[in-house]
Amino acid sequence: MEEAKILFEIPLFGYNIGISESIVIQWVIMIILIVLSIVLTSNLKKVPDKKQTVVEMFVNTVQKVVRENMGESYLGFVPFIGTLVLFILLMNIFGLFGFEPPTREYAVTIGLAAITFIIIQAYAIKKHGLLEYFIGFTKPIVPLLPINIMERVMLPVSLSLRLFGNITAGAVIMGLIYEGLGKFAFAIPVPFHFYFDLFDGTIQMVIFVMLTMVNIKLIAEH
Amino acid sequence: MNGLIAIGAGIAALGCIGGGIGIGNATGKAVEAIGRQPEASGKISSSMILGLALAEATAIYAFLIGLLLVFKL
Repeated sequence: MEEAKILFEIPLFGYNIGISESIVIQWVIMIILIVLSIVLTSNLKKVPDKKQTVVEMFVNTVQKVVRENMGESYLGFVPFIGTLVLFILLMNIFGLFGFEPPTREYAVTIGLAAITFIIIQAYAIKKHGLLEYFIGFTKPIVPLLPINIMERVMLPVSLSLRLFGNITAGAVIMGLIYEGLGKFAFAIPVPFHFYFDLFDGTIQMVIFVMLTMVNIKLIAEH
Repeated sequence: MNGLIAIGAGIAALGCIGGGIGIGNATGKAVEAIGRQPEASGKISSSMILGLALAEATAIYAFLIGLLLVFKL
């Protein structure tokens, strides 16, 4: 894999922390999301106007999906799942704006997968207590212990590799198309952008969020 | 040496066959199930997407190995 481009460096505690393009894009996405959420949720009314209806539709959809896949007692995960949906979707379709999507870097996707991993384990510990949590590794029978541990550790690996691999494949093919067309790159790349950026990005987001939800529920109820 | 690396990348891409077969099987069965029970289509398609993701992972690993080899050229 290629080295990430370093835009500038921030000196911190004697180290120089390199800031790459993907981190800056993620900051931009975070700022967009924060500003949007502040603007859209200010002066909420009982009778919703246009923008409030759109926001309510989104929140209702996320709630419905969480209720169907995880059940009534997991509705506390709605904000987390909704944030994941918006964040990953925006990162995946950022290729449309002429940048490389940040999910093309493995560091970004392994970060997201690590968040999921920690949340899954923390929720299981919170629900069962520490002792019960470790006893859960020996179910259904004790000799399965190494396989159970492998299963837990492989989950974030496969989750991040899936997102990274799909987005990288799309970006590489888009790069090949632009290289092959040279100066005549108009109109022809548009359907490919639709497929690789919009369609593939959305599907990968759905799969990431779906696997996150299913695993939170599965491991909390082992 | 470069030629061998390129051949290795090509062989690694053969792993995509498994992912293709798996995805085809899963989608075929899901369509059959929806045909039999159209009212359960929501549940069927959500579990189908899950299965597809798991089947696709193998193809992604093959792709990743191919990519690592190609960047070595």
